[in-house]
Amino acid sequence: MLCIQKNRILIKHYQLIITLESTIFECKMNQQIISIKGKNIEIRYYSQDEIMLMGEFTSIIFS
Amino acid sequence: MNLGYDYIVIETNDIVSFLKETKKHQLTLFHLHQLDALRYSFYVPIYQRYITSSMHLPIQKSIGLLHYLFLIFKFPQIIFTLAFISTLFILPHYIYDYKITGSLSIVNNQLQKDLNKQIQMMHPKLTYPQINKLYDHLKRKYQSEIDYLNVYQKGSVLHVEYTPASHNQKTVLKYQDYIAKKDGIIRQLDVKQGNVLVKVNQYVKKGDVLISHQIEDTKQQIKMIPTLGSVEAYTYQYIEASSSNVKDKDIFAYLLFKIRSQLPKDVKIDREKVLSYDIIEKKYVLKMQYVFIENIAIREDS
Repeated sequence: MLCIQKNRILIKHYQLIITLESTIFECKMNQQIISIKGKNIEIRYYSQDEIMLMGEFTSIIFS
Repeated sequence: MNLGYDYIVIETNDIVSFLKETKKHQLTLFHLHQLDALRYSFYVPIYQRYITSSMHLPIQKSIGLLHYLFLIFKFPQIIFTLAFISTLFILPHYIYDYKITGSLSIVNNQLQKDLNKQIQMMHPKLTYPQINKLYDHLKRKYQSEIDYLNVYQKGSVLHVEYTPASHNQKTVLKYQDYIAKKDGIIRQLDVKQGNVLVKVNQYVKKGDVLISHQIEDTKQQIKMIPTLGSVEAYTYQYIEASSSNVKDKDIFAYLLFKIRSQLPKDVKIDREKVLSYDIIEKKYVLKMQYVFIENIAIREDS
């Protein structure tokens, strides 16, 4: 599940982080890969099944 | 809401693997921030410190209430903590001092010895039956010396109060008038024995009889009665001081101090008023008026 606000995105029930960089974040979720692009991407909160990202997001791609 | 966090800085070239490891250990991270190419910083809740330790993560600093709570249980803070707890919770349950209030020094010393014998240092607080027992014991022992006795605890202090037996107090009856030693306006009368001849707010002159030792009964016969008491009155006094040291800037303060040092010691000052402050014949002259409250009643022969 994704909760999207202006500068933050909450990802619930993620399975695995694939990429973590300041411009791109990728994770696996429900057999899909979610790719979030933007600027200054940082993890605000990280737990076993939740991630909250902060930054200036430009796109979210499901593949 | 977390009560405290550990601040951790790690060095890694594969942050994704580290996060995978973190997920496996069920560790929660806050504010993951990349410091430079290899270093990352983040906060971890203090209650997950056992996971932090098991993952060998280096704690840089800690913040929050839990951190300070943990701090007080470390050496040497634990000593202060114990001292504080003992002061706050344990010491009030013990008696560590006695206070004897009474006017007979021999009885005071004897009571002190008795209490030292019966109640050792750091004795637990006395219960009501124990206080009653102590009261009975002291009352029985000092029956001939004291009239009123009170034993009570206040905080960690045991108070013993008594008044000497009335047969020990020597009272000599005197059959003399009380007269006014100076002019004044009566403020308050405290007459235990005698015939009061004045009223509150009455103006009396020096030598006036205030309390008489004579009283007329219904058969119009004069009877002699003992007198005892005091009469407080407002009295007025003018005091003047002068100084020729013209250069002194604090001359007023100096003159005021000079006047105040002349005031009688056994009076209360009701009012203090500057009447005049002038230069007379190259001298600074300060004139003050004082209203005192004092006992103006003295025995006729004294």
